[in-house]
Amino acid sequence: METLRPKDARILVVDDERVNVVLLERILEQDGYTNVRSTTKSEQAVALYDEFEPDLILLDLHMPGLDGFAVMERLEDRIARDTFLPILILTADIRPEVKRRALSAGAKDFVTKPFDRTEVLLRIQNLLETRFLHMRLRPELASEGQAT
Amino acid sequence: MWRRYGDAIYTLVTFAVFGFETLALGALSISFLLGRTTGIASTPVEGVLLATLTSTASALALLGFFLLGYHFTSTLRDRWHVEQLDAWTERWIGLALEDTPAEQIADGSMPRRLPRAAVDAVLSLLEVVKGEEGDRLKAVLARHGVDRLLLRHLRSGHLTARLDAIESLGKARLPQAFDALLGLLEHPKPVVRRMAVRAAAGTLATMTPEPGPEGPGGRFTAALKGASLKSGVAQESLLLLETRAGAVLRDLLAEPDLGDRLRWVALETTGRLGLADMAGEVAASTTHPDPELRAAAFRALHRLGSVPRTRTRRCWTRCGTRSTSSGSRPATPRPSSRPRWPSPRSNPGWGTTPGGSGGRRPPRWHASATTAWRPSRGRRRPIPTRPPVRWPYRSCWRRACWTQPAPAWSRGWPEPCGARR
Repeated sequence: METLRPKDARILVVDDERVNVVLLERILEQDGYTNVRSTTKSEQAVALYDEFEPDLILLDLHMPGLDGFAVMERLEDRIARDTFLPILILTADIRPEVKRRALSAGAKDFVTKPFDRTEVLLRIQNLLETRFLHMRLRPELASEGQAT
Repeated sequence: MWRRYGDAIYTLVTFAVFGFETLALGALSISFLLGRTTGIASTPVEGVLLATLTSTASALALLGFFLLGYHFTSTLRDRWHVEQLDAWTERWIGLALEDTPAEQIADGSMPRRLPRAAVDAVLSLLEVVKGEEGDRLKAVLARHGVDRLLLRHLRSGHLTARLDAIESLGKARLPQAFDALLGLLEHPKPVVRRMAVRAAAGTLATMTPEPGPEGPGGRFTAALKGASLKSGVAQESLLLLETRAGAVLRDLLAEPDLGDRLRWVALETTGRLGLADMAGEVAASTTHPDPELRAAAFRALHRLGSVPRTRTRRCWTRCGTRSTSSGSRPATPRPSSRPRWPSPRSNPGWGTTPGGSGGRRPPRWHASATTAWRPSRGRRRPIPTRPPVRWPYRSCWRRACWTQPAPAWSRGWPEPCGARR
């Protein structure tokens, strides 16, 4: 059963810096998000995705081992084509080409560190709203597709 | 692990071990020469061998014990540091997100001088948060005198301490350290200049904008102009300015006496950041005498996706090509089957190689070897004026090229005449 209230959304945080993970967890918790899981090991991200089935992924780009691009590449095979799974990139890399590469790799939004708490929360809220609207529309789109 | 802790101890133990071995071997050699080893072993040779073996084994055992002991203690120390870091991170997050009142954190169990883990934790957090939360953490640093300590270290005679201080200030982005960081742009060591400009750019990005040369942006621009920085470093620092980059780049490009290297950096950065409202400033460099700067300006304009009308006309005029555009109208291709190529003699910064097909193909143009400045040898690539398109569309390409410049070495040529190919 999929969640439809934004505050009940399942959020997965993947960042190699423990400080960042704790901070994001606390920010989300304070804003009323109760379903937050996190990892500092990017190798576990795909397994956690399978287990947790998140509604939103907060992903760092530069991590040891698997970087954010590699994680998105691995997730691409698991995300169904008709699903809108938002990936919000949180990175300190300000190069425009990195931003473009991340967005073309499947990221839906981009926040540069250091970030503003309000900005992050608003972006998360917007992405989750889009996700839930997409989920609501999915049965209708499927029936339309069958009719045509 | 030697890089982090115990370098000095490790060196001392190694010296002790090898010194002991040397002394032992020296003593044995002398004893052997004097024939005094007969009491220890049956023959002098056996004595020497036995003593060498014993001394080497004890030296290795000592070294082994040291390594194990060191590994054990450093693991314990690391674990303790991580625990401390986590504890302090929790406290600082509580303060930043207003879970815990600042007075309670400050006056309760807070030591007068913050331990290293506390400073590390707050600096790590300042790397991630800005705005109100970041200001609260900066206030804590100021209250405990960490900012003053870092500023003092900035003037330290030890290079390591100075670099550590610059790194910490780069994370903290303290406005009170901005001028001190700018002052380091004149430091004789390139590594100090590089780290200082990064830290200063990061700090400027969070400071309140003030117009004029006396404002932080103006001071940064002035310091950047006077600093001896590599192109890549300057470009990186400009990128780190984030939303403040536009104002600084505008100031830089407006400077008539700006150095070629910094102008090239400013043009490239403007293009990379896609600051479309600066197309006018960029277009001014399309008529610069240095071909590399002209190329950088065109590259930037291509990235910005716009060319101001007046500059386009100037460009046409400069290249000696008859323009049929009248400002607002796009240029139409010339009907002639043999376009009039600009003469290489008209510009000393350009050279040519002969064209082919019995003179029907135009000459290839390249930046002249006598040009005063180039960013690097790798950039000395030919600048072809002939597009890789079929003959009937060549004149169309000329229009496409000059109204929407696209250097061949970066993104490929623009589609000639829309989608006619």
